[in-house]
Amino acid sequence: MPRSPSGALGQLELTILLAVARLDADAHGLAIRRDISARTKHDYSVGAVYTTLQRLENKGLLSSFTSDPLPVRGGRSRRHFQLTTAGRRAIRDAERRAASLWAGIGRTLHPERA
Amino acid sequence: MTTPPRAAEQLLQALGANSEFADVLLGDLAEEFAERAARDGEPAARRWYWIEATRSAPHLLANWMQRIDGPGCRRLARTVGTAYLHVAVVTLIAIVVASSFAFVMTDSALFGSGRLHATTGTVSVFLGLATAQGMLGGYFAARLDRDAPLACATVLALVWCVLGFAIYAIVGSAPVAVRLLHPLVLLLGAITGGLVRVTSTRGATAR
Repeated sequence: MPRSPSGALGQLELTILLAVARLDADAHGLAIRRDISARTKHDYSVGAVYTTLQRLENKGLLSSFTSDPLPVRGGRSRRHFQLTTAGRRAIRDAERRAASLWAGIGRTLHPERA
Repeated sequence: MTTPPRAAEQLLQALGANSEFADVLLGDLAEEFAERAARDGEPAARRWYWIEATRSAPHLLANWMQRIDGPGCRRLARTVGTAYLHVAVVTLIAIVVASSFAFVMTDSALFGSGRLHATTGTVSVFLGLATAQGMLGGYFAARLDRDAPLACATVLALVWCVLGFAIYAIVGSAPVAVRLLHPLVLLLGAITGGLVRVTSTRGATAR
């Protein structure tokens, strides 16, 4: 079976990295889940999102810090995420890879525009 | 202020995930629960919470499994083994008591030697007793592991189920219904026993 290129991100991993980049200072678990669910039209479970966030953090692509405890969360903290330098590089690599894969596809999909 | 279902929170905590991981996850659920309760009403929010808790449970369990190192694995094996021993002792006592009523519980005595026919009634009684046995096992396992009671009961249930199928595959004198249902009944019984243990100690572990 062909193996994915070294360092390549999974679909959900890339989706979450992009959400963190987009949300910037507001990138906490709940906001990330809402953002990706709205954009992909798929209702991801809280567990799936946090498992992926933790994996991205273990890979060194994200870093996190916790806020003060909030009453609305039953006295629990929020965890905010931000991109690391490696995370930004991973997004740029994914963009280059996608651009390379999509190159020349326009003529096939939209022959009328050619 | 409305609070999320306490039992669901406890079940998620009982899966033994890293406390930081479990805390942010439960915090997110609580925050969205409050929003939904205000918008859709509390019953709808509670329904949503239970569904979301069920969907997130496998991820918490996976987080717990990733954290198990060598000593943790030995401790888990010891806990599960002790729970089996407890069940074996209770089962032996039950057999002695049941024998006094001329009722033999074991599979070989019931179905192997032809002393009793495998009627729907005897199969039902056998599976009923197996459910009780599974529940006892799950309860004991959850009681023996304070950090991850439900995860421990789940491991016991899975081991029991796999062993059950393997044993019936090797020595398969029992009816097909028993061979198929017995391991599954043990699995469900053990998980239910774990759930009973976790929810029955809600006062002790409540935040």
